[in-house]
Order: sequence, then C-alpha cells, then structure tokens
Amino acid sequence: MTTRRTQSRPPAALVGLAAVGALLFALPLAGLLGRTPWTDLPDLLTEPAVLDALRLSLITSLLAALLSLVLGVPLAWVLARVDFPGRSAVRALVTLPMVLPPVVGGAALLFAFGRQGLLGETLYEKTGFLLPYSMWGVVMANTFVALPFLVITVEGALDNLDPRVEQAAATLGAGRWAVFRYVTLPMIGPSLAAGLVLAWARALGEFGATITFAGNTQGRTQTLPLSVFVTLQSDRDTAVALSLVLVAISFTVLVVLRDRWWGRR
Amino acid sequence: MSGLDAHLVVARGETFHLDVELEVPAGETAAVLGPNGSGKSTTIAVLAGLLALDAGHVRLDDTLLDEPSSDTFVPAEQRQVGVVFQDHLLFPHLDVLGNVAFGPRRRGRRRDRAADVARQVLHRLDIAELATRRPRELSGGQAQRVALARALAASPRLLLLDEPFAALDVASRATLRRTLRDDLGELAAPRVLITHDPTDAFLLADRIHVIEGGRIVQSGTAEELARRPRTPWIAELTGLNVIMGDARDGVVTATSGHVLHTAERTTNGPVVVTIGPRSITLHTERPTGSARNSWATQISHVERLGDRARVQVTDPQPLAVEVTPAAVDELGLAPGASVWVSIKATEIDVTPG
Repeated sequence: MTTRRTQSRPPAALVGLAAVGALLFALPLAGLLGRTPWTDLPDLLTEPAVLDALRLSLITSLLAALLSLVLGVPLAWVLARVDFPGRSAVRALVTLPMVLPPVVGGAALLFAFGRQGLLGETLYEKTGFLLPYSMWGVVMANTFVALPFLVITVEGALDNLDPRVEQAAATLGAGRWAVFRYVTLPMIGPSLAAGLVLAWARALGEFGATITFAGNTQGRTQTLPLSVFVTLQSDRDTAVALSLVLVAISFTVLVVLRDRWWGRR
Repeated sequence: MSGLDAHLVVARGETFHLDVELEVPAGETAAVLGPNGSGKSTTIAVLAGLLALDAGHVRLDDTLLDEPSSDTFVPAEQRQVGVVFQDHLLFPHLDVLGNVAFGPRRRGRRRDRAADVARQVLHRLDIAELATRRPRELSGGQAQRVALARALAASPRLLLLDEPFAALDVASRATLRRTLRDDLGELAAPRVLITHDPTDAFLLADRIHVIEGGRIVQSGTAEELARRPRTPWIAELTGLNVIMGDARDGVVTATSGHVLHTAERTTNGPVVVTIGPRSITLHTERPTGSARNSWATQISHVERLGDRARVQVTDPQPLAVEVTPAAVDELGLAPGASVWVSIKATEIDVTPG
C-alpha cells in the first residue's frame, strides 16, 4: 500500500508545543473529573452551604448580567454613535476591568463605595446604606468585571452595522428611538445575546473583586468560586463538586456560543 | 406651487460646494444626472433630511422643510420623503411584508392596518408572492422592487430614487426600468431620480438636470440636451441617439416612420433604440460597405467640441453623429450639405420599451 502525500508534514516543533498547550487545558480537567466523588455527588451538592452559594451565585450573576445589559447597551451605543471629546478615553476606561487584576478592582470599589469611600461615605450618611459586605456589593463587583464584555461585543456589532440602514428607517418615519428599538436592536440581536452570556459567565466566575469588596459571608456574599476556595482547605470533596458545577455551566456557555466563537469554519 | 421647490446649498470643506436649484412639479420626474463626486449623494441627503442645508431652502408643496435663514429644519422621519437606495438597504431581520409595512407602522398605523397597506402595495407591484421572503432570499431586481414598495407604502410626498439600477445586472436593469415607469404611474408626488446613467434619465425623466462639480450645468429634456450639449461630459453622455419605435423580426419602425435594421431579432413590440454617435458613419456618396442601414440626409447643425465635432442630421431620421474635426474639414460637413448616413445593424441597441 502506498500512502498519498498531498501536503508536507507540519513542523514537529510546532506540533509538539501545540500538544503541550492542549494538555495544559486537558490535564486539570481530567484531574478534576478523576477526583470527583461521583457517588456522593448528590449529597454534596445539596449541603446547605453549597445550596446557599449556588443560589447566591445565580442571583448575583443574573442581576449583574441584567445590570450590564441596562447600562452596557446605552454605553456601547454612545461609544459607537456619538462623537464626543474624550471618547477614546472613555472606551479605554470601560475596557480597563478586563485587564485589571480583579483584586485591584475590588480595592478600587472599596475606595469609591466603602464606608469612607468617595461616594460611599455620603451614601452611608444620607441613607445608612452600605454596599460592601452585602449582596449588592457582590452584584456591583460582578457588574464591574462583566460590563466590559457586553460593551465590547455590542459596540463591535454596532460598528459593523451599516448606518445607512438606520437612515433608511428614518426616511420611513422612524424617530431616533424607534430606529434603535425596531432596527438597530434587532439587527445586533445575536451579538447582544452573545455579549450577555459572556458577561453573565464572567460574573458567575468572579472571585477577586468580590472577596475584596464584598467579603466572604456564607449566605450573603459567599458565591460559588469563593466557596470553592474556602472548602478546598477543609472539605475537598465539596470543593470538587462545586468546581464541577462551575465547569458544567462554563461548558453550557461554550455550547450556546459555539457558532459565534468556535467551530465556525 | 405644488411639488418640490429647492435651492440646495451645502458647503463642505474648502473643496466641495453644492449649489443646485430644483423645481419638480407634482407627478413629474426630474433626473439629476452627473458623474461620481458631482454632488448627487449630497443632493439626496439634503432632500431626504439626512443632512441640513447651509443655505437655500427645500419646500415641498406648501411646507418649508429646510431653510437655514429662518432656522427651519424638519428631520427625515417627519418629512415623508421616500428614498429608494442603490443597494436597497432592506431590513435583514424583517421579511418582505415587514419591510414594506415598516413605514405605515412607524407613521402610526395599527399593526394589521400597516400589513394591509403593505400587501396592497406588493400586490400593485405584482410581487405579492415575495411577502414572506427574507431580503437575503431575493434577487437584486426583486430586492430593488421591494425597496420601491417599501418607499411607496409610506405614502411619500416626494420620492427620491438614488441610482436605483446601478447595482443590478444588465438584464434586470432593462426590466426594472420598464416596470418602474408603470409602478410610479399612480404616484402623485414629485420624483427625483439621481443617476450617472443617461439611459435612466432619458427613459424615466420628464426633465434632466446635469450636475457637475456641485452645480447644474444644463437642464432640459433629453432631446434638448442631446441637441445642444453644453459641456463635453454631456456631449459624451447624451450623444446617445434615443429612438422610440416598434420592432418586428429585427426591423424597427421608428416613430419618424424610418425603418432600421437591427441585429437583435427576438424583441418584438414597442422598443427603445439607442445608437452611439460614434457608431454612425457619414459619407459624401452612397456607401457600398456591409452596413445594413444607409440613407441620404441633410446636415442641420455642426458643432466643434475640442477634439471632436458633433454633426446633427435631419429627416428622415434626426441623429447626432460624432466625427473628428479633420473629417468635418475634409468632407466639407456644414449645415445644408447633403450626406449619406450608414449604421451597422450590430451597432444598434434595442431595449424593450
């Protein structure tokens, strides 16, 4: 038998390094799955501490995603459509949380909204409301890290939208709001959904900013990732079970976004 | 005055300046014909209300839409000025019915009423069967007709056609030109056709305004423009001889009664024949070559335009012919002179009219 060689062999060095890179992702996942106490899983996942963390994580991450949607879409629209001085500075500011270490983000949030913070002090004196170490602090920390993902996705979609389609809508009697509501928004729908899922996933996995700004109180501010970190010291099985939940959620997100981010050839 | 009355002045930077006056009575079509960069897109934008004038005015019927001196500006969404864009710009997320119903709906009709209006317009344009299609499922010609339906459904008081055929292949262009005339037939509003293609202007417009460098350099009917082109660009464009007639098996009987032999034999019925002025040869004696069409006539007019000359011949079939100035001298071409005209059948374009 002869093998037909249609292409030259890819360089061995590249293939080797690529394999090491792939293993870097595959091995930890295998470790996690190998260490999973499958039979005890139902019991572990229904422990009160686990259920508290799961519930809190779902509530805060969904609220953060919602808040990102409400604030992020207008922000993206203004960045894409309104020419104002300092636009690139605002754009840089919005994307800063994507590269900033989350712990630094959490600290910065404290300096702004803490009891002695820039805005927090006045807020506390006037209303007695304190953001840090509350569930709303978790939501705020989550939104802080999640919002940029939505803004960037939506702004990119708006940039790719032919503004003349919106002009066509205007000539048909649609005012600016109607154009946005009935033309712009539906046309960027898929990107909006993708941005929302990304923002939600990012909020769900948030650790550094949350623990710095909101602390680690079970039932109030201890989300899934915080719970994983804590139980890792005391109760490995629970930590693994919680990690598995997060992996499952992440996988679902990837499947939902598969057409957009990968497998599209 | 009923119709459009506009004096469009837009200063954009140092280099570009638009200064154009347009008057279009209700029910008439004016063509704004010009090369790229002459100010056609700006004309559309200011008439549609997508761009504000720097000076002048736009008045539609009795409504002042834009007048910087009195601080008047009615934005696009309140103008009821319909636009058919070159690349149709249909809404990709709506089906054809949704696209056509968009205008009536945004202008306050209830959802079911808007859909009714849309269906009526689609039916009138004979494209009712496209109602449930998405824009990406339409051919270029279909998309352009849907775009026209969408503009018409919004009951425009002025209709702007922005290079409506430019993005189409030759075959659909010819079909669409013909249907457009019928489609617009009932529309009482004035129409402005923006184009760089003289055929569009000749076939669809009652009056043609030639625009170059932001200014109207000549206005008139197709015939007037062809007879007395005022710039070389117009001469080149309008030099095209346009003859209406009736075709039967490769023989076209022009409205003048003259008979032309054409290479195109499959088109029968009313046609528009176009002949390039450089495709016509003049002779001082009866020609004996292969040309299927030749006849004796008289010169009515000779005009020198730099490196070429335009010669106008009269009965039995008035034509514009382009020759070199040298030929004018050598053949002694002058008004009143007798000449023979010859045209090869293959040089005659026939479009169903």
